[in-house]
Amino acid sequence: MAEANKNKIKTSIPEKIFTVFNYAFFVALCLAMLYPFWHVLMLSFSSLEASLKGGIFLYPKGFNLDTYQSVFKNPQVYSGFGVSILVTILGTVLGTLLTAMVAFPLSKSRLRGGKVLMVLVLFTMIFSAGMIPSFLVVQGLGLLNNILALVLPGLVSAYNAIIMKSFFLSIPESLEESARIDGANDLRIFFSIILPLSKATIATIALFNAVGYWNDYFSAVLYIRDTNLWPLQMVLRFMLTNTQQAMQQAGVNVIAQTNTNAETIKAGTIIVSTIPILCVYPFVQKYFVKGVMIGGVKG
Amino acid sequence: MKMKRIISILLVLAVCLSLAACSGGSGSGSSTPASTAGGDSSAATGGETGGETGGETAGETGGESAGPIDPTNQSETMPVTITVMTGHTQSDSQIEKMLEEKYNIDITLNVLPGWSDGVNAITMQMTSNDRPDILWWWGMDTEYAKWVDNGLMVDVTDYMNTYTNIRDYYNKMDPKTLFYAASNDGRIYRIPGDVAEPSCEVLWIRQDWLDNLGLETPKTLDELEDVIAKFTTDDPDGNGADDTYGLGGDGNDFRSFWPWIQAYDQTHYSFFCVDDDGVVTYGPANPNTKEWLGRVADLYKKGYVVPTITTDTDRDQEMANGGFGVTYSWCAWNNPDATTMTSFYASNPDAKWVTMDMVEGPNGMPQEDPATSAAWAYFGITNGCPEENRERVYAFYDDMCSLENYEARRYGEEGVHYTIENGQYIPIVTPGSEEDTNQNIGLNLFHNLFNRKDEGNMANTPETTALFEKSGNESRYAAAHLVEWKDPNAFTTWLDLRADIEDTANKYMWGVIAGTESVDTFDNYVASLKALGLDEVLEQANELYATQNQQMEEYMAANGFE
Amino acid sequence: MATQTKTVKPAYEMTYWERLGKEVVRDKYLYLLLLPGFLILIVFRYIPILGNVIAFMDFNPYDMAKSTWVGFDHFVDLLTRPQFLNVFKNTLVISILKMVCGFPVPIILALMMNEMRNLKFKKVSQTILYLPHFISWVVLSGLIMNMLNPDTGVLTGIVSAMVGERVQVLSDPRYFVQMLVISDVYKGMGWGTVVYFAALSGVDPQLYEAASIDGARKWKQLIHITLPAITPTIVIMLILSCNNIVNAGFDQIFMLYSALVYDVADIIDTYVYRIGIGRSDYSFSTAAGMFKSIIAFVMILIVNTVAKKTGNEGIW
Repeated sequence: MAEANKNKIKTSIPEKIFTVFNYAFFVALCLAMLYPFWHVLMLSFSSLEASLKGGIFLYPKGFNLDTYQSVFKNPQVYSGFGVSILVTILGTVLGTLLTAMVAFPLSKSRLRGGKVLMVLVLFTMIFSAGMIPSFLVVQGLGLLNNILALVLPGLVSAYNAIIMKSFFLSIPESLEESARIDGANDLRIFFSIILPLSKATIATIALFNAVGYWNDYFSAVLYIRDTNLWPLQMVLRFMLTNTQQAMQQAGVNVIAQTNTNAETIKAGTIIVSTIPILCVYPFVQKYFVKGVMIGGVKG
Repeated sequence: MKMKRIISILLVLAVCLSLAACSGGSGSGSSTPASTAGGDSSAATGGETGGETGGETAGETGGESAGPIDPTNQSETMPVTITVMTGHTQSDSQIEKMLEEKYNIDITLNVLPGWSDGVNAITMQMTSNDRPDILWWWGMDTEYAKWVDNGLMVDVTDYMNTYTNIRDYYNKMDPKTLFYAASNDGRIYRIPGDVAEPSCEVLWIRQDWLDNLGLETPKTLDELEDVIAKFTTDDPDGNGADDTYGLGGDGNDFRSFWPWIQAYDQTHYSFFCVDDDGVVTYGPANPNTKEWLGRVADLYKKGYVVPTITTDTDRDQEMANGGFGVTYSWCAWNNPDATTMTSFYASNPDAKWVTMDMVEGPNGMPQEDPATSAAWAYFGITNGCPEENRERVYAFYDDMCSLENYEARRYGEEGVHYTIENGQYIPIVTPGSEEDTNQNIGLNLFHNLFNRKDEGNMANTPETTALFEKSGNESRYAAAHLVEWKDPNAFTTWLDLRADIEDTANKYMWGVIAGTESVDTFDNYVASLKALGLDEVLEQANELYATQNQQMEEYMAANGFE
Repeated sequence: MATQTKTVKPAYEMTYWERLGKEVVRDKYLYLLLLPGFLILIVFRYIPILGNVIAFMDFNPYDMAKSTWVGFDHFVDLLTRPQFLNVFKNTLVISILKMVCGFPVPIILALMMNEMRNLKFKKVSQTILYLPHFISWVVLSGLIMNMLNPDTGVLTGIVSAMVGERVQVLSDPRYFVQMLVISDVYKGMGWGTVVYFAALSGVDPQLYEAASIDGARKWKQLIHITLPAITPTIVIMLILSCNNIVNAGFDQIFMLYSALVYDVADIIDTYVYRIGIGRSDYSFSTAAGMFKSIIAFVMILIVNTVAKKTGNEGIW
């Protein structure tokens, strides 16, 4: 009833035109956004010869499944998957928890030194640590060639902490107060009241963390030597940048041909490494709307 | 406020901790200086000194053994870590296992993460307190000097003269290679990993297009330009569409224009040139640069050149599309397994690419593009390798590099991984191919970490070998007039100004070709290079070159090379 | 209970330190919550950030003891390089253009999306908009080159028609920056849209109902209800994006640029990278990084202060 009522009030002719335009626009936009992914997907189903010629791939040229047969024969893809999944799960669970634990106290205006701490957190977003000092710390902790070196350094992100802080700010103070009267301390309030209420933001930040960890290859460049511990993105990056152009840019005066991976194999590996995160995304998406209320909403 | 103080205390603590960690690291770095720096024979890498120095070495390395080590007859398993860039990225491959058994070693492979990130990974490994026994790297001249200065690299001069496969190979191919590898005092801390053939490229032309248009293979630069024009305008593929270009090439790479560059003396797109009197000049600033630039720009303007040549595009793709008829490219394309060519012929079955002689320009000296005598990649033994293992590490590596052993680890087993038909190598599994990776054979395992370009390079057909040889021979005049630096770190003004000068030069030269700059402003361009400090650079360049040249002559004379 | 109340002074009688102590004790569990996160930050961020002092040294990573202090030499070297002014200008121009163009797009898209009634469509299009976020610049730049190929590229015709002449976007300084900005907006707008869309759905529907009963037109609703409601989000996003004022996008530019467009596309990061090839001078590149960070920090300070002065909620 209410829905019908609303429509009745709102629909006018210019608005109808707008609606049509709106949908049309988004369809066009979505197609444009879909294209790069589609291109890579179609390339991965195409023949080697067609891939070498380049151009537009709206459909597979010379359809075959050789690429995927080859990708899934590569044992590195499997070990990469294993490492990436482990790192992503660890990083996502720990990272989201720790970020929430940092963000919650910072959302309390009564907290002494809260502002200073907030600036300190923000500081880590602006000032980045150098490669060598970071390496020395990880080495000092004995974490070289250890999966933890891929997990620990990135656990707390300033950006995510700011998003979470905004969310916590929007939770009514009254809920906490009543719990406090019942004798709950801040720890209990956080774990048994705030966290269950924050599913949306937790899901959102967890997705950000998961994407971050899944896509990270640079930590592995610095901290991992053993190829069996390479995450999937590192395997992929190795393939993508194993080209003459990359050699030239890296300062090699290219004086001989290099063996490079076929375009189709690269495409197949991109698809294989992107699909998992794309599969998770739709399930988390419903939380997004509530989860990323940056800056609170004046309503 | 209390929190703040706690944090500041924590921070101070942290600094102390990190400093402690740092000094710990440096301690382990400096406590093990390179040990074999004893012998003072400065030209220790020469051909004749042979096995005599062996006894002397043994004395220095802790008196463990009296004579040369036999790496294939060792009772104790030695762990070896090797850092290398290789297309193959798994451990425990068949080749690795074969080597481990043969030399009784346990190889740990650190594969560098590709060209974009390799330098970072190498730096981290050398900064760490757990350095690999054998490190491979490319470029990084400044870093390498620091490694040597800080005692991170092991002096292998004496080993090299005891185990001679590597030394003899390089001295056979080009005696200058080891001269460039050595330090100023003649000691060797780095072993050339890969040295290109003296020249790797030749002119390629579409024979079918020539035939269609009834043209002869061009002999001079003028004739070549004429062919390029006709390839563009006269519809060489006969399809009635204006869809062809004369000249194609790798994008953003001046070597695509080599036929024009070689047509004039004393010019280059990035190297320093030297004339017959030993005067060093900067190639891109020399007057003849204006000449070839002008000609190339004219062709580009007329639309005879593939337009994407000015951006960083991939030639393989352009090639597969078959839109151009002349290109300066790899001799190796002549091999039957060259993927660029096979995919080209797959879609253009009636086409025919052939190689041709370099065309003659105004200087009357047709020359191919010379590669450097110096290696583009090196490897060495670091001080992470325990002292007692160093000689054995060198010994087994050297043994791996002998012709027979090289073929076995590069191409695998005859009958299993390749066959020989009529004296020609036919791969069953191509080294570095997906099949190689997927079966974890490891044929490309130490590719770049010593690469033979003599008969050990079986993949070349006899025709390709001949092509390389011809191309190499016809590049020596050009090579003699280009400068290679033995010690780039001594060239301090260039280190400082290089980026700015090269940027300006590249901007101008590409600008002229693309038509956004005029060749008439060449003098202004040279003036702008001078404003950046080119004169200062050239002054130092001449000093350094004089010294280096003298060193080289002494080295060659002392070791009995001509 | 009674004895306790006797010993505790009323708040107004306490000194600053007593009050501080009491509040810290009261909030001890909050500090406890902060502890693990800050431990991670201290170990993996602050300590390495302190390592940035190598910007003031001639740093020798292989023997720290041999590093020498050189003061501001590396900064002076960077700032006095002949090309510095140009690359600094390019950095600012490109990043500000990206910000100015990239900032309103997600807001507009979110507003448009908010007008849609079809929930399924909304969801699917949100997912798709976010897709390019997952494709790296290595892949995307290859595609861009393909599409802008002067002979075969699909976009070449469109661009040439728009500007009225045959252009080669990737090597033409007149169009290169526009290409950078458009491709960057393209890649990033999905994520921004999600954020604003979230903010929009937080607006109380009753406000709209009330407004439409009052007969307010859509346009007016937008100006008077929607925009004010999402202003805090806009402000925070703006402050956060200031961090990027000196990050014009190394990966993107590095993959696409060439000498022909150095004049407009060479940024601090690419320039420092080229200086560093073969020279690998960590002190110099750290100095360059620090220079950038300081500018970003100052920018955030200014914008945050302005935001708070104008009655908005800042980050702190």
